Amino acid sequence: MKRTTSLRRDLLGMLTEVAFTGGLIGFGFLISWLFFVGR
Amino acid sequence: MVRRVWREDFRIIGHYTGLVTIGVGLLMLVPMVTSLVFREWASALDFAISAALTLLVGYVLAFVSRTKSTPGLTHAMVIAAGSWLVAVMLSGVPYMLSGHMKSFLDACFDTLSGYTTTGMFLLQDLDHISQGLNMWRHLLTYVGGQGIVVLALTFLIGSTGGAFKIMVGEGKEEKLEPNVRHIAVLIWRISLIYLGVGTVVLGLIAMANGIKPYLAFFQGAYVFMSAWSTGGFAPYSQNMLYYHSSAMEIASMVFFILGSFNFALHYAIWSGNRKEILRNVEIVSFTITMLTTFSLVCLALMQRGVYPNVVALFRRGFFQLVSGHTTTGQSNIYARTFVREWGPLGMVATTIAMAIGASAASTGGGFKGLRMGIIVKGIATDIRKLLSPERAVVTGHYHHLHDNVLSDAVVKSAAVIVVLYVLIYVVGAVVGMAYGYPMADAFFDSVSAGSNTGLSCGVTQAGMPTLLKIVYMLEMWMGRLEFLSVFTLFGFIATSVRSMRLSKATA
Amino acid sequence: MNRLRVVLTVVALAVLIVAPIPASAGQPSLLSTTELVEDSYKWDGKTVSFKGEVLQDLMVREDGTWMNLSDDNNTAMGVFVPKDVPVPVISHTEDYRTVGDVVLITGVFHRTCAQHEGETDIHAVSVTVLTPGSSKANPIRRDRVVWLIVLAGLLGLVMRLYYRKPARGTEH
Repeated sequence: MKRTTSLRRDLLGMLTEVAFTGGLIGFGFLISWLFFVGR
Repeated sequence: MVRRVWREDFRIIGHYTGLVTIGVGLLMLVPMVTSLVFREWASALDFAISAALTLLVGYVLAFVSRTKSTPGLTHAMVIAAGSWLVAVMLSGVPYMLSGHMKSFLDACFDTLSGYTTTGMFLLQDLDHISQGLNMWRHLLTYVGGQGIVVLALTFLIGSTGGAFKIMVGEGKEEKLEPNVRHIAVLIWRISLIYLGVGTVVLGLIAMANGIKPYLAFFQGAYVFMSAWSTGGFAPYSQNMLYYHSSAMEIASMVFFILGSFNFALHYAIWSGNRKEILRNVEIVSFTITMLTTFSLVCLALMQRGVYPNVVALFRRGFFQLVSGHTTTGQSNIYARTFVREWGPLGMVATTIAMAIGASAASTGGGFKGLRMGIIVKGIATDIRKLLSPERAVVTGHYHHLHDNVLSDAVVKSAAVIVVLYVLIYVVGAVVGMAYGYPMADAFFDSVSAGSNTGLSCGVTQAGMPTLLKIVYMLEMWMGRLEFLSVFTLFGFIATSVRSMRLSKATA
Repeated sequence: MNRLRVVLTVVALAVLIVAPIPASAGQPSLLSTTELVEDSYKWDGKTVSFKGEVLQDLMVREDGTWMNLSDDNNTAMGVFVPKDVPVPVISHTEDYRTVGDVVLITGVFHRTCAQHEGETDIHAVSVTVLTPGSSKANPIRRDRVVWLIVLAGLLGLVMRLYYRKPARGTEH
């Protein structure tokens, strides 16, 4: 059905974006950790 | 311009501005209903009055300038710039009626700040306003983020040709689909879905943190709208500190990072092209500049021993920096804390992040990641050209939705806009310094205004000099419209004045 | 003997006048949000007093309760009341229709609280309600109702003109 595939694409799209953003945030935490530990 | 055509120009502009104004009036019904729900009768009445007034002005404009013509590009630019002015002033009426503003100029400052998704405010006693007024403030940023114009397009205009030109005037120049109605619907669809998801997620977090359920979802909606639009307003004066919740901050951060992405990118990803998120020049640029400026911030904070542990360093440092870089403006530290504890390096790194800003065709401001990417690659290509044998053909490329050639024209237009941004940042800073503010503070708030960020280090407050208020307002406006629309408006006014004088002379 | 007594009295008086007299032993300074934030390093870790109106949400968490106390135009401070500290009944929290209880707390000020991931907060050791809250009037102003009627009337008129089908030949 066209509607379900559209919904599925929306969901996958959202998940991709949120996952990427989560990755960025994780990377940020890593950097702060490196700075703190490396002082 | 020939005299007959010139009168018709005014009609077109007046008519479409009228339609946009009607849209704004209808929007005021949302806070009115909010106030009714919370039994804030006086506030509901204020919104009813404001809505009636705005609708009246809108209908009068649309009626008096009735026309069947569709706008050309120039008209579109003037409508885009002009309707902002009308919307800003009328949107200030509920603020004035609430009694929380010291002047009408302050009210216009706040509404302009809302529509441009900046987030600085001169409102007095924020902790004691009605739910209706809070709804209005946050709604302004959400709608402003989508573009007042797109709002009008979706509900009020049938034709497609003229509407596309209006949106180009808005500064969102991505060519997503040939049909502009489709674009508007798509932008709204993505934003509304996230609005639903975001309100629920943030509302649940608020509830888990001890806020009563019916309030939690309103708070969730406010915070979401502020984040997604990269506006930066918050329902209370403590901004995100009010909630004392890292979950709330992280969720909000996810939404404001997403809100800072190009809508064309959202469209690409939601249409199945998921790899785009790793290849897109703006994402690459943002990741690099964000992590670099954040490293500088960490350096500064560690050097000054500001935070006692890693989690504190990350939670405060990262949130503030990313809020600045995405030009959001939410904060989980006090403004004066930022100035006094972070120190010059911390402030400068954040200022640079704000100046660079978010992605093009997003709700964010600043130079835009696309231009940073283009300029850096342009420089790299020039260096390659210098190093290559004379007869070799060297072309640069950048990936934005698809592979693009890095022509001289592209690099030049990116550079021109960056220079214009730097110009307004500097002018705002110089005016601030002329009034005696320290250099770092003057630059910070000026860049914050020009990049539509909204973080403040204390310069922006009701007592600030009037001229500085006006300068920041011009910065917010020009920054959001990326200059072209504003220049066209002024150009149009100048031309009209000249033709009026000419026709008077020849009459 | 007389001379000695005079000298002793003068010395005693001098000491009393010059030496700082504590008002009452160990009364912590009453500070505002602005003062605390501006001099955060000075007050970090010290016991202070703080007074403010309780804002809308009292957030009960696992290990204590968060209150946000508004003490001035656009300033408010987060106060954390640990579970073991007795909290009086807060009868009113602020909203549009209510003035919240004004509460006085004493506690330790943290510039960057380690427990709360770097927050600027006060951990209360005592909480007292100074002024209980009340309902706020927010009266409906009659002149505004009149304005609404007038504007709505005019609006109705213009809308009718706008949506009326144009008479033949008058459409420009």
